[in-house]
Amino acid sequence: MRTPVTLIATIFLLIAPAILRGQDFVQVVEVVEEEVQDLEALFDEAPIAGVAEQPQMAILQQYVIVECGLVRRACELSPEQAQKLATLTPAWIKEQLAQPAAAGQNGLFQGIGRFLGGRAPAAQPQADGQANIRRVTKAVDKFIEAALTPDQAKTYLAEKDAREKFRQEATASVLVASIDQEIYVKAEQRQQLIPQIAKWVENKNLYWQFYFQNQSYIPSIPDSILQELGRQTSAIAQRPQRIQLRNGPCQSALAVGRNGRKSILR
Amino acid sequence: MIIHTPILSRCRSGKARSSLARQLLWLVFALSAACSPVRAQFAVFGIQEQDVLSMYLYNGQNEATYRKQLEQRCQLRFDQIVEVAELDASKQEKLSLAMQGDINRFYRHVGLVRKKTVGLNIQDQNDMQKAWQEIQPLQERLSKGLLGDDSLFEKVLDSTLSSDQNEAYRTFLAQRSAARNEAIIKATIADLDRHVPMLAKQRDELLAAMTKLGTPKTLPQGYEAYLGYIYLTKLDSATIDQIFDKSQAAAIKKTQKQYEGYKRAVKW
Repeated sequence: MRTPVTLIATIFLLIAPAILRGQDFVQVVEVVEEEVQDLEALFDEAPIAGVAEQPQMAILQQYVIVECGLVRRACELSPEQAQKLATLTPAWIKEQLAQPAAAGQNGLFQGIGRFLGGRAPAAQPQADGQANIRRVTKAVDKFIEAALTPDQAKTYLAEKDAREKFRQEATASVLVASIDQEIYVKAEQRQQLIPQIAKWVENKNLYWQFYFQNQSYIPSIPDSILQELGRQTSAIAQRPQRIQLRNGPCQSALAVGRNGRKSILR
Repeated sequence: MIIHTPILSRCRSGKARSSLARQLLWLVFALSAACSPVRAQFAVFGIQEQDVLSMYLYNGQNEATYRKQLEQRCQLRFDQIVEVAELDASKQEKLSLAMQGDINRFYRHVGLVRKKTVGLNIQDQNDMQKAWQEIQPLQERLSKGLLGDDSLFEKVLDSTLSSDQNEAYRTFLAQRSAARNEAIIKATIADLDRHVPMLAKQRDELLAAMTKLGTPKTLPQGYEAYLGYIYLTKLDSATIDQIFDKSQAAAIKKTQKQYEGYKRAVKW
């Protein structure tokens, strides 16, 4: 008889602290939940949208400064035109960012889906951020062009095209130089490769410095372009360290910070 | 101390028991000495031993794949020299032997390092530090280029090429270096233009002024990415004032100051 009693007593003694700890645990959970609810309420009152907007604002402000700097140098602006361009302030950018993007085909389908009881699509903040930047830069371009006479607009657009061409050629040349470190590109091959890579790098703001800082990596250029290199192509194609790095908003912001090359000109 | 094990309890005499215990203890010591804890883990749990050399030297690839690529890169350089300097068969053979010599010498060194690093625990910081000390010279050798300046290949090349061949080869290297420098200068101007807006004419003038400075005699490793800014620091104030307007010039001069330190490391 003694054995079951001892056993029950022992079991009780063993589980008693656990039960007590369990009560404490429940209390602690309740306290934490209350704190989390408080925090959520706080964030509801002051949404963090402003924080998310900052990188977009920095990029767009930089864009406005550079474009205004270019147009001011390319065209002789009248005081009225200069005054009009001066209205491209951070407040104007903010206003443009706040405007909802025009609903495209996807938006329409998503709207129909939601009307029929479907779920709202998951948010894509990064994609939205890029789309917002593109939308506002287009608005800036439109604004500047509208402020110019037709001749001035022609000059400004010609400068913009020349700048784009220079950027593409510069990126293409530097990518060929980074491959050259590896496989000894001939002068003729270089001349053939640069225009083809320039076409491919259109609108790609590449972080080219990486390939010179990390020489075991080479840029990921499509094989169809590298065909020009003949037998050397296979030496590149077998390399696993082929990567493509773009200067995203973060890298750009870091570059500005590190080099101190802020938006100096207006 | 008496160890109670079924085997020992079967021993009749105390003398025999202590003798067996001693033997067992020796066996345990011998086993632990033969197997490092890491090896024991690999053996017991059947985990494939991680290659420190593969991690640090071959960027995660296996030695055979890496060696094939390395040989291919050396061969590309060899082919380029043969073409540029128009080498005959006997000179090609000499150079090929020198190239093989450099590759073999490198892999002999790899073999020695492998012996020293085998069994090191990749989870142990001290072990990894030891491994890194051994591997670092190999990595430096690779980043300088297996057929680099202090290689047997380069020495044989110097003694093998005729003066005409040598000149053709040096011209090729100078052109290659100039093309690289110009590309980096252009890319730097394009980057600068994202912050200091320039007209097409100004960009062209800046490019011409920078390329006119020539090629640095020595460029420390890892400085290539900053080469464009190093060129920029070499421009005098009058040239900058001539190309740019006041506010642009101020911004360029400010950038020059930021890269002053880099300029000192480069010899012209």
